[in-house]
Amino acid sequence: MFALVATPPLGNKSLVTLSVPLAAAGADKLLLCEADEFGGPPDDAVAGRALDAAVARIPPVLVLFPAGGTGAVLGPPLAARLGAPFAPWSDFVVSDADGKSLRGRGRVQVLRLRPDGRTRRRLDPAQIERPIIATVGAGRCPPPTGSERNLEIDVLPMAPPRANRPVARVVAQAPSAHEALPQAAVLVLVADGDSATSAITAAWAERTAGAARGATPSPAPSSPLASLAPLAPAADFGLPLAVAVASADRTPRSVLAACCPEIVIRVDSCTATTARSPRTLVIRATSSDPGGQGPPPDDVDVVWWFGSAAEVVDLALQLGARP
Amino acid sequence: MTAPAETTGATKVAVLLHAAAVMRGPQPLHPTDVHVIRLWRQLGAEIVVLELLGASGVAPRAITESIEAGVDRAVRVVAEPLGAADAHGTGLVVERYLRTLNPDVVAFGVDADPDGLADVPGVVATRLGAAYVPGAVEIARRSGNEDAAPETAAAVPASAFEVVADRAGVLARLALPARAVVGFEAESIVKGVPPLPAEVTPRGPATPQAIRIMTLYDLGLEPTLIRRGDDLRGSVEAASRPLVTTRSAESLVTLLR
Repeated sequence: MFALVATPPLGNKSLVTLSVPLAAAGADKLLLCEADEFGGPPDDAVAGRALDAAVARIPPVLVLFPAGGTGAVLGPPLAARLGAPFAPWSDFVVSDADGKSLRGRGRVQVLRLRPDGRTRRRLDPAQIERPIIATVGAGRCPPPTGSERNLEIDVLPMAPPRANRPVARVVAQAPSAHEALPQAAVLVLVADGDSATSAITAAWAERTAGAARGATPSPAPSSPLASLAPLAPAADFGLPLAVAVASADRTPRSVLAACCPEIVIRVDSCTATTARSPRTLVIRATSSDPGGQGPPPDDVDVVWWFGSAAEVVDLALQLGARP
Repeated sequence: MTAPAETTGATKVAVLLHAAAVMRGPQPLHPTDVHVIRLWRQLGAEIVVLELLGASGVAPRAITESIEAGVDRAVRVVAEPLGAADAHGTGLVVERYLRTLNPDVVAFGVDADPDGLADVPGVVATRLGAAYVPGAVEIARRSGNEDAAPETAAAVPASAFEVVADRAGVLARLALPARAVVGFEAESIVKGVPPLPAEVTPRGPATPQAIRIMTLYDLGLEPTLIRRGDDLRGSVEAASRPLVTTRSAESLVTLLR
């Protein structure tokens, strides 16, 4: 497994900081592309050079883009250049069968949930004889499997930028208010009008305040809901980064569409949807008897009748914690 | 009310219906496609929509609705080989058409592909050598053009537009180069131009010439260039998703960890 990083030139300290989590996650080699132009937001006209250099050096079976938005920008043009299929929000099945019983099928296959939620697509790199370009959803961090010593760093030479290539020039940029949502593996979505929403807000504030002992607290929100719009800052308080709580009514649909969490908890009347991979589980958390509410929507996997708002917050934190 | 019929102008925009996915039956116009058409009407552009069909005899539902939404021209490329084409073959067909149209901007709705892929516009951008700009949430005339009256916006070149797009947690304001392939989100907005009245429908009755049917031969393409044995989208299988109902948070944690 090769990790590719396109970045402005790094010093030794930055390189170590970068490589430690990649090595711990199990990367065998770090392909490093350094150029001043890689400091901006991802754009195929810029970062595409790094991708091209990487796939030329290591012809891949799979190219995976992590959750966060780079895949939507860089994936389709890379697929076009490689003649490969692009599979957004994919998951994998890995077979441990021996070579004979695979019968020409690949050991790793790519699965993608279709929009109907009832069917999925299965892509086999061995059968289509091309690489597959895929984006994956946000997942809970597995236990570390590698060590820093094992990570080999390979600095890739890159061809000079193509002259006259049209580039959407960045005129200005600012952090998105919703930047952490696509990274959340466990996403709690609440609706503003629900009575449980304020209780969940209070429970979340209580947990974050408890976790903030000894840390510098964030400025107090002007209203309880302010801490939910758009994201309760879990990481600021030492809580799992993988957990986010958001008001679905105040989060743009496009932001939710760019989120593919492993677990979505929709509370009471919230019906907002996110992108889903085959691994995504949708929990409908209801504060009243689900028996009297009729059948849940098609995309729901689990109906959970919760007792208190604190239970919702605790569940999200437990699920988001590293196993 | 009906908008003035004479609103076409120098900024020519090609809108790829269904994000250039190939349809095999009559599909309604996707709400994001409607939205994209309205955005460009606000900006006074000449709008040409393109729909790809992999079967003949399909009712022109989306095309008719796009005419009602106010586009200037509509083109349907009908070819059975498209029904077995991958994104690269489909992108080749779109590129061929766009080279004859020579639009200033190619637009699509990022969530308008019924299969959720939206992979063809990336191929189109690569083949055209154009910038690929998905995820636009705002479009505006660039500074210096903001004082222009809406009716003169039609004469604004494509390079005079800026879009705001989400780029991995950064909202970037991007200056569009010519012929950029731009993907618009469902809630994208136009800045600096008065909104269209909600009840505005067609610019005028669609003339028979407004809809054009094309085949691969019209585009100078052989079916064998497009048809594939495998459309590279994968085999379809059932996804088992049993419904679980519980009151116990502990059982949920055990189930999901």
